[in-house]
Order: sequence, then structure tokens, then C-alpha cells
Amino acid sequence: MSAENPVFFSSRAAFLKGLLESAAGLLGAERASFYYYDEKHSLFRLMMRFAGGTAFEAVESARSAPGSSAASAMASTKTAVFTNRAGHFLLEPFRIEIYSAGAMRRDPVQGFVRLERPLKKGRRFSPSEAALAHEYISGFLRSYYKAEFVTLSEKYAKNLAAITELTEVFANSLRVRDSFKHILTGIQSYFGFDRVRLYLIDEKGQKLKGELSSDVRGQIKNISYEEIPLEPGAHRFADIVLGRSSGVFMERYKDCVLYLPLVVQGVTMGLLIVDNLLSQQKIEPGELAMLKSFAGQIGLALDNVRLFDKVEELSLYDELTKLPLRRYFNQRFQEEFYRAERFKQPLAVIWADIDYFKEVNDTYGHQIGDLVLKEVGRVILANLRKIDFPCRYGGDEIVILMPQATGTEAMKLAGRLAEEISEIRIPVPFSRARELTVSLSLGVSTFPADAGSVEGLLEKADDALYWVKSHGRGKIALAGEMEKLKAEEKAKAESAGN
Amino acid sequence: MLIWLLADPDPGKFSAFRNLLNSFSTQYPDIGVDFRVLTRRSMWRLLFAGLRDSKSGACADIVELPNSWTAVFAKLGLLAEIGGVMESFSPARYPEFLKKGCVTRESDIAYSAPWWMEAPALFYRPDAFRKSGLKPEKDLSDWPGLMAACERLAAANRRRGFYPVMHGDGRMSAAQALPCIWNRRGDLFSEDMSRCLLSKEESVAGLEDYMEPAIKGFLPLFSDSVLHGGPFYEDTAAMVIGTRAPAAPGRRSSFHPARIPGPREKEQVLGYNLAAAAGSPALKEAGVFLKWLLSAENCRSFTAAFGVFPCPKQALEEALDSSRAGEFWRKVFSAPAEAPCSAVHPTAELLLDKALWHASLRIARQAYSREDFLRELIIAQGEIDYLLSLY
Repeated sequence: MSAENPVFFSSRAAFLKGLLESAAGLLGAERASFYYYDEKHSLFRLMMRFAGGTAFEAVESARSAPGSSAASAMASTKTAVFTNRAGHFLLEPFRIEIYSAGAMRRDPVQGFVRLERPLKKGRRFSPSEAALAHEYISGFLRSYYKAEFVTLSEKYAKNLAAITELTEVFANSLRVRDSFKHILTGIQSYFGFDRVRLYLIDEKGQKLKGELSSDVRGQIKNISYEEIPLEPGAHRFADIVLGRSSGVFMERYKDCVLYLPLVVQGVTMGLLIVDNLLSQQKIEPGELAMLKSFAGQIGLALDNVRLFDKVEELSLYDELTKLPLRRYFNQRFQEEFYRAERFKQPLAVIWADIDYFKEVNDTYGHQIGDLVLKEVGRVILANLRKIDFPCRYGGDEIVILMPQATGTEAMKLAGRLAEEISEIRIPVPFSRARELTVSLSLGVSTFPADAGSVEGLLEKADDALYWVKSHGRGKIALAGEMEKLKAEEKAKAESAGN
Repeated sequence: MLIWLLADPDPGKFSAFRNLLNSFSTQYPDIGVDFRVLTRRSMWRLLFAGLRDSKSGACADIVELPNSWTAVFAKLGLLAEIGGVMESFSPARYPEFLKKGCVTRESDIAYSAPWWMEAPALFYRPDAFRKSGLKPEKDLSDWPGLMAACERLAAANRRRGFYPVMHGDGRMSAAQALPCIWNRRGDLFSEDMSRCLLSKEESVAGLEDYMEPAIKGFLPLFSDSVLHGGPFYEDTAAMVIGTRAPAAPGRRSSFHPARIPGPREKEQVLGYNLAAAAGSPALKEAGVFLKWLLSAENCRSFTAAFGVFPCPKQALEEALDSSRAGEFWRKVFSAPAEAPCSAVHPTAELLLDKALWHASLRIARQAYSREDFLRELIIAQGEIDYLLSLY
């Protein structure tokens, strides 16, 4: 019989398998089992067993009775040998010092390795075999740290990669289109929680609004339908954000749910919730610490995204009417026109002008003029389909792009806008009229009927608008009917001349 | 190709599987197959790890699953459609009650194939009953009868280390508790699967029935006999609650099976299925192996090695015909509870199991508190209800 030194093992499981297989082979045991002592529950728990040529995980938990062979072996830390009706046994107790992350010493792992021989075919373990078992198993277990080292080093490598890549993700999130999605995907790719949800406090600070949720496979879902009033007692999440959460609740879920308020410069801007509720797997302290350390960066990244959006909004949208500006509109018009041409779909343009707007400004002042513009913008935004794209083209001119709309559909919308805008009443207390009414003149052109280019469509809509403005304002004209209208007008003039 | 098998108290399962692999390798020398044995807990953890990191190939090509796990892992996209992997897969080969354990709640597409099954029962020693003047048919017909039998057996066997009843796995578990919950007309879920009923009065009453023998000291928990080669059921227990007849190695069992007492109308059947991982690069080979492994012949020889039952109808009939207690098991399998197919069911089982684990620890330390147990059930119910709203 000889004892060989253990070689290098890539994991704890491989190490235990190697130990049990080799110890059973060396000592002619039919079975070998590795039990560790679970101090928290005062139980010996089976970790791995080797039997019938196979090493396998198995479940057994036992409380050691005082005076039993197992208890005596553990107390004396000496090899125990005994025989009972189940077979011949040898228990080799062990105690391994473990160093965890940060070279902090943890409580030692204690337990024993049990070797078995069948009662009929086998024989009792001899003192020399017990000595060999002691030498071999304790020697083998001294290499346990190697397997632990591999596990720890893998964990460190993963953490390092996470720190590097997540920092990059958060820093770059400013430049990506779907920034929130990018951040959530980054978190999931390293931590892999059952679910990650992101809630942000709205601009007025009155609501916590759901943004996105990611599942265990990293699939992202929109949760904008979730809105929580930011008031004490309204919802658990609101209480957490407001710093009023119930300790009892948090305590119960601390193992598999983590609520991470996102704070930037002392201001809470949202809440990141990660959970392992479905799998019931504990969020490891390492993961917890790392995610907490990222909270500041996540908050900052989200804040940057919001600021970026705000800046973009200011550069693309008109502050007064909330309608996109001409530069943005021109870009979208090109895209939509290309799509309409390619897929042979109709497209309509409405060009609107607020009647007598210059006179409103001159008579009542710019404040009233601004109010008129604001109200017109509101009515327009409220009446459009999701795919329509309006724009404050300049001064009191508004252009609306209607993808996939025919002339009839555009005329219908134009009619609705004209009607609703005519119902607008702007109070002017210092004037005799007390209030001001607003009306629109509208010209409509369509692709492909009226023109085959962006410029052509705008020109035709403008022509139609000009016709309305030169014929008493407050009406709608379709470019395709201009020839007819002009001919009718000419005929009318001629018959009047006759 | 790698297969993950679930741990089993009987190592015969793995010897039998190794023998099957050897036969397969002879017939299909080009397909290499190996296996690893994982506890239920490790398997659950690693399957979720596989979901999280599907690119790393962390998951095995084929996995053995409790049939209640099919729905959740199919829904999360881990499992491949079994019909796409195994051309000849036919649900008609299996008893109807196993069907739901192969599909998700939303569709009838099968994601796993039934392999083997077992059912919890109360195994009693006729000689111990005779000595105490007990008649199983009469005294084991309901739960109070079982408790009265425990009292008489304890009084008649005052020697140290004897217990009227034991648990096959040394502690209280969710799988064995369900029949008691059903006895009281409780359940894990409402019929429409919209609510969890874990802390409802009926379910709690069933759980308390289940725990009563342990609380009253008739049933040991975490017995240290396992550390010394046990448990030694033959002379230390008159009854065992478990799924397989207890026997010393190489000896015939002296225990006879009986229903877990109570008026319920259905029996708990624990089914174990095989599934292929959707991300496996060896799905074709997996199909060949599964078709071969799930043949009636191979199912029969495999299950006979560790005292459980094969799932294919034909093999099941043959196994029941050749079993000593075939008639008893035939009755059990003729009134089975349908396998659950909710994605939340495994988590509910897990939480109930956790509550029973904590209760077992407290009872073993003689520190059991009903309030603590109820609180745990109420919180678990809240958590499961929340999950039901999500999955």
C-alpha cells in the first residue's frame, strides 16, 4: 500500500471526488463518504459519496448523538474504527482552515471521511490501515486550499471583468440609443439575477415610474405601465425610496431580493430591484457588495442619460408648442419619404398657418401670442396618430407629416384640427372682447398623387395653403383639387365679367 | 455528451445507469456519454446557472428532472421540445396523469419525457403490528388511527433507539406532506392555479397532522444512525414513511406497503423525466440516446435496480405484475394526482420544504413553535402569490 500525493484539482467537487476515489482504492473500501459539520444547524451533512465505482452528490443530514463513534472521533480528532451490522467502518475526522476573499480567515471546516467495507466480504480496518488512512486523508486535505484557490481565483477574475466592463457600460450609456436597456443588460450579463427592474422618479417627484425589467435570460420588457405614487405608505417601493421601509419586510427578503435606491449627489432618482424569488437562490454577499458599489455609477449613468435626453429635447423640440423643430422634421421627412417610396405607401403633408397671428402679437402682445401657439400645439399633439410627425416649421407655420395616410385621411385630420382649434378661447381680460378665438388655414398635399419628392410635396402643400389664405382664410385645400378650384374660380370670374 | 442525474439514496441507480451506458456505448461507439450526479438542490442551482450563462455551455446535454420542474424550465427556454429531439416520442406511451408533467401550462408541447416514478407510502412491519395487537387495515385507515398505533407501539417497545415510525429521508419533506394536506382538503394551489393555499386552515391542519408524530416523539429527525451505516429500520422502527420498501443491503424487505392514512381521493406520484437542453450542441446525439434509453426494456431494467417504477405503460404493467406488492401499487397508480404544470410549483415546493426543514430542526432541538411555523407559511404564501402574478 502506498499513498500518492494529490494532484491539482479544478474545483471543490473534483477534489472531493479525487479524495474519495483514491482513499477507497488505497484502503480497499467499497464506499467512501465525505461529511462536513454544519455549525449553524448542528448537523453533519453528506457532501459526496463514492460507491459502485461512481462518485456522486447525496443528501443526508444527521445530528451526532453524544457518545456515538462519530461524536467521539470528532471530539478526539482521532481516527475511529468500528464494526456493526452494516459493515466495517473507519472515520477520519478533519479540520481545514479556510481563507476567504480578502484573506480573511473563516471558521474552519470540520467533518470526517468515512470508509466502509461490507460485513461479509470485507474485514475490520486494522491499526496500520487506520494510520495509513490518517496520513493519506489528512495529507490530501492539506491540498484542499488548492481547490478553494481555483474557485476564489475564478471568482476574482469574474469580478474584475465585471468591474472593467460594467464601468465601461455605464460610462458609454450616454451615447447609446437604448441606454436603460444597455445598463440592465450589463447588470444581467454579470450577475444573472432572476429579475432586475428599474424604476425612476418622474420629473415632478410625485411618482415612481417603471422603466424596464430584465429576466434571467436577459430579455428586456417594458414596465412603463407601473406607476407608484411617491407617498409614504402608498407602496413598499415608495417607502424604500422615501427611506421609510419596514425593517421586518426587508429582513425576510434580504437573502433573495435587493432594493438599491439610486442616489446622485444626495438626490434619490430611482430604484433598482434585483431578485432571485423564483429560484430562491441567495444573493451572495460578494454580489451584494459589488452591486452596492455600482449603485452610484448606475445612478450617475441614468442621470446622464436623462440630462442627455433633456439636452436633445431642447435642441430638437420647440419649448413653447412642444412640437419638433424644423431640423428634426427635415430628417424624419427624408426617412418617411424613403419608406413610402420603397414600400409604395401613401404619405400626406398638412401645412397649417394660424390666421392673423401677426395681428394677435401686435394687438395683444407676445405673451398672448405665445399662449395661442401653446394651445394650438396642445390640440395638434392630442389629435395625431402615433406615427404622425408634426413640426413648428417657423413663426406661426406648422407642418404635419402623415405616413401611410391618403388625401382623404389627411383632410379628415385637418378638418378635426380646424374644428378643435376654433374652440380655443384665449382670455384677454384687458380687451373688450374678453377672449380671443383662433382659426387655422390649411393646405394638404399627398404622395404620390401631388408630387414625387420631399421638396415637391412641401411646395404643393404651401400652394394649397396660399390659395386658402388668398381666399378668406379659415379653410382647408387639397393640392390635388387646386386645378379644379382654380378652373372654377376662373369660370366664375368669367361669368361675372360677362 | 453529458447527462445530469438526480441524487438517490440507493446507489444502485447509478450502477444500473452505468451498465446502461456501457450497453449503449457498445451499440453506438461513436457517441460518447458521461454522467454526473447532483442533489436536487445542486441541480436546481446549476439549471438556473445554465439559464444565466447559456453561452458558456454550463448546462448538461440531457437532464433528469422531477416532472414538476418541466414547466418552469421550458417556460424560461432551457429545454428543447422533446418531439424535435426524439422523432419517435409519443405521449400515448405513458399513463395520462404523467402528461402534465411534460408540458407547460400554456401549451401541449412536450419538453420532457417520463422516465420513472415512485409514490410515498407507509411501510409497516407486520410482525411488530402483530406483537402490539394492531391490524393495519383497521389501525392505519386514518391519521388518528396512526397516532394511536404509534402510542401502542411505543408502549410495547420501550428499548432505547426504537421509534414507532421513521422518515425515509430522515426529516420532514414537502413531497411526503402533500397527502396529509389533501387529507384535510387543503392543497398547495387553488384549482385555477391563481392563488397559493399554503397557509389556509385546511393546509395547515394537514401539515400539523404530518408533523404530529415527530412533535410527540414517535418519529426521530436527523437520526445519527446514518453516520454509522444506518438507518437500521428492521429493528428500530415499526413503520417508515417513504417511497421504497426499506431493506438491509442484499436482503428482502420485511415491510409491507400501506396507504399514508387519510380520506383523500388522490395519491401523490413523484415522476422523474428526461429532457434535452435547448442550447446543447449535441441534440441529435441526445435524441438517439433518449430514444434508446426510454425503450420499455431499458426503463424496466433500470427501475428494477433501485425499486421504483418505469413510466412507459407496457413496462409499468410488467413491473406491477412482477412486484410483490403489485396490487397495492396498482391501486396507488390508479388514483394519481395529476402532475403539476405551473412554473411556480417548484418554488412553492421549495418554500414548503424550507418551512418543514426549519420545523424539523426546531422539533429536533425541542424548540418547535407553532407561531414561527405559521409565520413562515404565511410569508411563503405571499411570496408564491406574488410569483403567480408574474409567471
